Amino acid sequence: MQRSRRPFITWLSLLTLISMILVACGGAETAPTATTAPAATATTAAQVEPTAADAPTEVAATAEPATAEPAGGDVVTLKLWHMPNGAAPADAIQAEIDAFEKANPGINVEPEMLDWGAAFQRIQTSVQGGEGPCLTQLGTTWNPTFAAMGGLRPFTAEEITAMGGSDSFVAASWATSQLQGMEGTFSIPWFADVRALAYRKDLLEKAGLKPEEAFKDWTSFKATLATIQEQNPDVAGIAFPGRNDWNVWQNSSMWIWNSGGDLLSSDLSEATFNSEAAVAGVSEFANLYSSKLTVTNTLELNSAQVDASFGDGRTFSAITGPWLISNARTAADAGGWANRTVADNLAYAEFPAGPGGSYTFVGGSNLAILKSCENADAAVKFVQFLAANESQLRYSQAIGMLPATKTAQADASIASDALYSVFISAAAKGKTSAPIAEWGQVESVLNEQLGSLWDDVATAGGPVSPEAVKTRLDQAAQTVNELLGN
Amino acid sequence: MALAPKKNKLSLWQRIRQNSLAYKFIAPTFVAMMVVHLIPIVQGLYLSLLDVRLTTLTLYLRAPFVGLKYYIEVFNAIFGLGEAGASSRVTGLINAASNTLVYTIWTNIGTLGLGLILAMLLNREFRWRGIARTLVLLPWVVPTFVTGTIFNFIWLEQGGLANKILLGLNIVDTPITWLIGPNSLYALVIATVWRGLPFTTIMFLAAIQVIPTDLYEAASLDGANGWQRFRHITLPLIKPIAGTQVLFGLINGFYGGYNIAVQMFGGGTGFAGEYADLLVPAITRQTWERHLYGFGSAASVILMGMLLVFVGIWYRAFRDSLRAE
Repeated sequence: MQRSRRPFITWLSLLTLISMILVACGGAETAPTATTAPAATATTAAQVEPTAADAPTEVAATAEPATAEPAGGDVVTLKLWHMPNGAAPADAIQAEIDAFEKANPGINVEPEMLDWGAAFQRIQTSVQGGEGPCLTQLGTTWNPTFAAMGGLRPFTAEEITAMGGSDSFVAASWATSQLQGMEGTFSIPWFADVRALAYRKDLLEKAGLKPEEAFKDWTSFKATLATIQEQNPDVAGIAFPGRNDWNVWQNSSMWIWNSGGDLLSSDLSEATFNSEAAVAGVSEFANLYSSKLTVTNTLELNSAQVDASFGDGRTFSAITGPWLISNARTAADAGGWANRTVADNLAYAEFPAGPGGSYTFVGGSNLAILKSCENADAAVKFVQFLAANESQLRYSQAIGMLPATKTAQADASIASDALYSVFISAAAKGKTSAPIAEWGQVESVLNEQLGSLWDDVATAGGPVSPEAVKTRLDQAAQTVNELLGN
Repeated sequence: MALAPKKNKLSLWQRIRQNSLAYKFIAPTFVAMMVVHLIPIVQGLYLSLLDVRLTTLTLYLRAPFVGLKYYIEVFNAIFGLGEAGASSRVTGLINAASNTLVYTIWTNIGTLGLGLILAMLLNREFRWRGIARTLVLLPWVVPTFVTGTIFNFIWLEQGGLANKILLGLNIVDTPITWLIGPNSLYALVIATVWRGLPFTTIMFLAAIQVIPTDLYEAASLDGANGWQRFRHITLPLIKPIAGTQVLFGLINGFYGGYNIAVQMFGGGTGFAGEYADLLVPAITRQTWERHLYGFGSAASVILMGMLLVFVGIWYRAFRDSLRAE
């Protein structure tokens, strides 16, 4: 008995082994083919029958022309990668998908939510391997990187015209869809993340101050914070995230811009965030802490914790975004701030002007179609749906961001809202990251050095000297210049 | 291979023939392991010799060959040599390397020391021992990402559990800042020790439980006190297990800390600040955010080499107790 089983086991082992090798090699073989597939192939594939998504191997074999419209009731499946936007991200995107699918019965959208921390690498891997979703959300600063890698399918002029043209989008948001040195629009702005100063209007009134005076410039702003703290011993002047956050460079950049500095030179070839004006701006920001105008532990907080300390009434003001509006208007049992003092007294102000003016950071997210997408026409339809007024208004309000189109921003539900209107005027003066492929590197270096600066500030036991700030920024500038090829 | 019994003088091929059925069973796993381990390792080694950056990423293994360029760059960055020392495009590695060393030493002292003490306590007869053993295991089932998030809240200067306890017990007068500044490395060490403790405790407990009780009884009759019994019976008999634990500790120390650091500091950015930045988070961050893939591969290979040196030292130290088995 034992003898007769032996060959069987041997064969079984061999079979398993061979199948494993085949699977491993198969994966390795197909990947490069997809990577090197020229744009033309992708376009052809897009016009192939909608079932292509289900049976990708048949696509290459099918030579006969077909239309993008689903024939005979076939359904195109579009994969969408998105990140957790807003407090109920799955519900928010599903509402858009349901509305879209109702209007387009032949297209089926399958969403997959990626964590912000993992999304960049996932998208990069799919761009490199030529396999992934049709459509993906991109952080605005990621657009140039993936465009430079050749992973994104540019939108045609006709497609953009159908969405109202480039002028229908907020200028700072539209800028994030481009890549310096390369013609084309690689993604479409989806929603805008605009920063402003949230404050408590009851405390400002109590101090007898008017917002236009209180937040006019750096001097009046610091005086306001000091007055509020004096009158309300339990309330700190301001809270903002320190090193432990994604927004390290964004929060500092507003002080650089308002001080008259800029992040990169006008031809985007060189770092200028270590200029005299920039150093003055960052020092001003850093020393809010040493002047004891902040929540005592503000430097260790992340954005969510800053929002929480504002919500708990521990601070008079906070550097944050429009999402607090939905917090203030959501019932307490749904996790909102209703019935809290802060909910009735939430107000926003633009950042106090420095010697260089008043600017704010505009970020947000764009929608991009990957080059490997086989149903690009259907994907374009979905992007156009998301960029249309109805979806722009519904989705941005569901997630607590600002719509990316001017028409949606001008809608009465936003424009005549006292809270949202501050963001609309701030967005008009918005600045953002540079549309260069190397931006991710610039951002990484800035975050490291500015993050370490917060360590310096926390341990200094007094004001940080402009020289110390300059040392950090000089080091970052040297690294950035090297990365930019100078 | 060094662990093989000395008596066996047969060659590898003879042994395979003698136990052919067993080897046939192992064969699929062996091949699968080669495919999933060896190929990526070889690819990684080759990648470290190529100029793989953002613009050449899609070329992957067909990217331009640059030889040892990145190795030299990483060496300079870690050891502060050459012109490209402190301010090259790869920054902070020397700092991350020294943090990693301190982190490895402290996490090992913490997990091994506390693990041994806990194991000895749990080996004693007492009421609720079963519950106590179960509770000790709890941190083990908490994913490291969750550990990082939990400890972010524990360490908060205002309202954090750690400061509440320290202030409540009058150990400190003013709250300690854990998440920023020099304490951040120790915040990371303590969180890592908390997560690693169950494993070492259970291993030590298993080792202590197999020590025959009559050895202790005989020693007691001879007049040995508690310390002497521990020093001359427990310690020598758990040395092989301790050796394995040190090896795990070394590897975890060098390669570990990533998940906890990423969640505890930087809100997911992977930057724990100069005081707590470790090598793996630093290399990962700089590789992916700066798109220096060839550099990242070279840095990983160097890290692997550094770890091999430590494993070599470890092997020398514990060789005898491993052979004694």
